Amino acid sequence: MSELALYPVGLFFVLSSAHFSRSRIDSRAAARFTCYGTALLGTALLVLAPPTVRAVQGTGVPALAVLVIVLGDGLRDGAAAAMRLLVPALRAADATGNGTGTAADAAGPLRREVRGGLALLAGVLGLRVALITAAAPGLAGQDLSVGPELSARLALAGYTAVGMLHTAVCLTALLRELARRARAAGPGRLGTGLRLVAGGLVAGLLWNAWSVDDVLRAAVTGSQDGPEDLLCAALGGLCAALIAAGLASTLWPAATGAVRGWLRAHRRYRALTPLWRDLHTVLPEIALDPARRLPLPPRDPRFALYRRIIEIHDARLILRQHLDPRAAQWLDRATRRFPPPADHTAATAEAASLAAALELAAAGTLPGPAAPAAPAADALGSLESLDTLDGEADHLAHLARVYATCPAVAEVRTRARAERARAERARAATATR
Amino acid sequence: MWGELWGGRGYRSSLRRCRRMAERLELPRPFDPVVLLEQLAVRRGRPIELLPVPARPHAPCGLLVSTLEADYILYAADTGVLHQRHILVHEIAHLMLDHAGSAPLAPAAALLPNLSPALVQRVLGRTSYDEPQEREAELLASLILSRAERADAADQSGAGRAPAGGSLDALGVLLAARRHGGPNDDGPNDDAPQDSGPTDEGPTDAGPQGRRP
Repeated sequence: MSELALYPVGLFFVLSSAHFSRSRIDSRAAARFTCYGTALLGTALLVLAPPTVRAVQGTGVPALAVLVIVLGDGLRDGAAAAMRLLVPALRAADATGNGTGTAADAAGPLRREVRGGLALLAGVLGLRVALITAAAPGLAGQDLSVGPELSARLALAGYTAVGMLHTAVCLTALLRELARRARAAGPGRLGTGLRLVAGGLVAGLLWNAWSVDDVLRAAVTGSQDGPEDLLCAALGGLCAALIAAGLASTLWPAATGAVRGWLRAHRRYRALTPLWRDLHTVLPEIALDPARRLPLPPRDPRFALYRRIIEIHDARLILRQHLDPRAAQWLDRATRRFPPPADHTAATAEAASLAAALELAAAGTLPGPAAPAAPAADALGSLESLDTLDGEADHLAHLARVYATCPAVAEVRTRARAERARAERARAATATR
Repeated sequence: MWGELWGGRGYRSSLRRCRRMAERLELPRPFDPVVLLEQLAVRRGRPIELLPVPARPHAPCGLLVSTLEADYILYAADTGVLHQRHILVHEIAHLMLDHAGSAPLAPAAALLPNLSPALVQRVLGRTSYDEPQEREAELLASLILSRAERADAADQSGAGRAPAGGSLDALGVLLAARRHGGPNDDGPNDDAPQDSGPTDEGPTDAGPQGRRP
């Protein structure tokens, strides 16, 4: 089971490379080298995982298994070189971004650095191929092993040592650059992210340093680990986890902000529901989405909240014609019995007007001609107008709360309902006569 | 979101059309429906007159009246600012969607007594959503204003200043650190592209007539 541990680590790096390939940061070179580095490292880990090597061994061609190990090591060298080249790419991007040079000015030194890095990589790969050819190892179990001759043992040790040194040089260069950036960033979120990435590189250096054991074993006994072992998997996992946590630091605020925003919008949406439901029952024409039947939370609560606010406003406009002027008197009496808190007075007046108007609208009647003149033509729009969604939502949520819970509003509603029943009885009696 | 909306297959193309239009529309930042209206008027090569009116019983709270020479948008001015803006953008949506008129002339004639009925080419009124054109305009207005509201909220909170290449670009952390060195740096990169196309046009005076909703 532990032998499978390298696969998720390798997959993590391969998938990360897919993410970086879509990166839209200004520096295409930085995005490219990060993409190459993670893709090569991930592929190397998948190739060097013990089950992969064992599967190749199972084909019965020993040289093929050795070739796979050499291929995996070569991929890792490529990954290290790409990470090393990330340093000049980042510096070139800085020069362009800080206005100390144009993109063309920065491209020259970067191109030279890239050529130098590729030349170094070619040299390392050539030397390693020469050394492994000289050592001519075979596989004993999963170990690479050579004959007892000193030259073969030294060639195998040299093969591993060259790869280890190259990786160490490359990772150290990137680590120094990240440490410098972390210092410049200070103690904030950005600095923390960079320190985590730098921690991942330290884990990578330890992982690489574990090869010292292989160099010594090769020099002394003529054999060394072929595929990666369990400790390598653990260090690789730590490296991947720290790098992921560090790079994800830019995602934290966006992700937590999105979750907070979703929850806030959903809470406001729910707060408006009792008022909206009553309005919609009497005035179903206000709804743009009449098909919504399941009591599921909306997928986009901000849009749903926006629609709910507009629909409540539409209902308020329609209800103006049903405003019952007597509602003010009923409210006056009700608030003497149930005085609302001072900061609820305006909302109580509006909620009571709404409740009374809804009763008339439900009965399909307009205020009677004998009724005294309405106290205010736009009693349903008298509260402060707000021009932001959040402001409107909070204002209407307050109104909805008062509408649903205020005893004075409940009393006005009861009174309006009784008046409505009386009017309906009178109408029925007239119709019968 | 839209799978639940209306459900019927016949509306899918309309939904797609509205979403595409709302996403592609270049919005003024901060959002101002009057600026949007002016841009539309320039694009169409026809003046659009804005007429705030009091809401009336049994009458639409928004009306679009087109004549040979100009378009007139009448909107209820005695309602909340957000609602006024929505009504106005609903009528703008009719123009964007190039809807044909289907409403009776009477409410428009009552509000525009000097307008000769012979000159009127189309009338659209925001009443209920039984009419497919009204539903479509309402949907487009809601999508436009939701997007505008999000963009404005992001601008106000500073969240609009995303790290390079967008807020979900993890590589931004590497580049941003050098440029924005310093404690508590929460904005990794300030040269990110804005959510939607910026506009050089600042807020302008209200349309040819009327107050700014």
